[in-house]
Amino acid sequence: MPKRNKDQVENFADIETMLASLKQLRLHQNDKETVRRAVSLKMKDLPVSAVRDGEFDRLPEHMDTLTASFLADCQKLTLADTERMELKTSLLSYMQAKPRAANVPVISYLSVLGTITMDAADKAVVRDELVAAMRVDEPIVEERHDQSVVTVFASLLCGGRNAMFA
Amino acid sequence: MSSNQQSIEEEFLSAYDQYSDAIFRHCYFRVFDRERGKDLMQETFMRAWEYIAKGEKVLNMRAFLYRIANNLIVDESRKKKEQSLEKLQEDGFDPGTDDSKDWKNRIDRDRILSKLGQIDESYRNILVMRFINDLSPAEIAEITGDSANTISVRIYRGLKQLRSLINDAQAQ
Repeated sequence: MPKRNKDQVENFADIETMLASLKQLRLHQNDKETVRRAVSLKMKDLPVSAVRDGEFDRLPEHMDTLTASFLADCQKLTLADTERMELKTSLLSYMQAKPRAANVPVISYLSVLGTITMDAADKAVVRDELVAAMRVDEPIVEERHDQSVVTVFASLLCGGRNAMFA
Repeated sequence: MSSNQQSIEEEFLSAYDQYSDAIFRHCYFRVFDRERGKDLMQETFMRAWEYIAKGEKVLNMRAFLYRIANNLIVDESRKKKEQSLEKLQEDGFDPGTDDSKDWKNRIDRDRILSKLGQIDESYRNILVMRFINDLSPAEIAEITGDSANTISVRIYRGLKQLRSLINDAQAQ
């Protein structure tokens, strides 16, 4: 860096002070809050835990047909934002409590849950069923697990109205 | 919600509360448009969250936010030329705070603002980070990917260019 003499430093100090006066530029409080809300909504739509560690990013081929059919029906449901978040979190907790093979389908469910909604009457059913599912701790072979998970979640999401895989 | 996720979300919102004004200023003094500055600031935080949601770690949130903002500003400048300083002055500089009694500050502010838009963008970017947003040369270097020495040289040259413009205006 070029050396500066004393006069230059003093002159720069004046300019630095003038530049510092621009620190007064701030967001209006209501703008700041509006953006904060928008950022919060983004965080709810895209929860960090859904894809943490990249653990749930593959779906085995033999699940494709069954899952596609299941997901198609899920699209018909409705769920409020807060309920969707709760369900995502519960699903994730459930999958994390299971062995690796049991984690397989969760990313598809989580991604579709980002787009579907469910009516309020289904909320209690979903929560109760998830809690029950999380308590199931016996080892599950993969094929049986695929069926059981799809059945459980189809039943949960359809709230008994349309238990397509039951 | 897991405690880990809650903790990550709280940290991120805390970063928003801490850095949103600085990122807004950083964007504003590049595009000279309050609304665009606000939009760019919002987009910066949205992009940051998208990255974090992928499970990526951010070691220095402030530097990370500035890097995103810089990239967005570059994209913006490719799409649209900056608003002229004249347009900014027609619209009026709105600091977002009431300092109507602080005449010295207002005079300083108006003088420097009228010249800040005239210096090279690479210098303006650095000066805004250094003297308006209080980043150290090392922190700026981390954001821009240059060495701290390079940043110090740019700070010096930027100040020199600003001083020259102010002196020229005073001589006229």
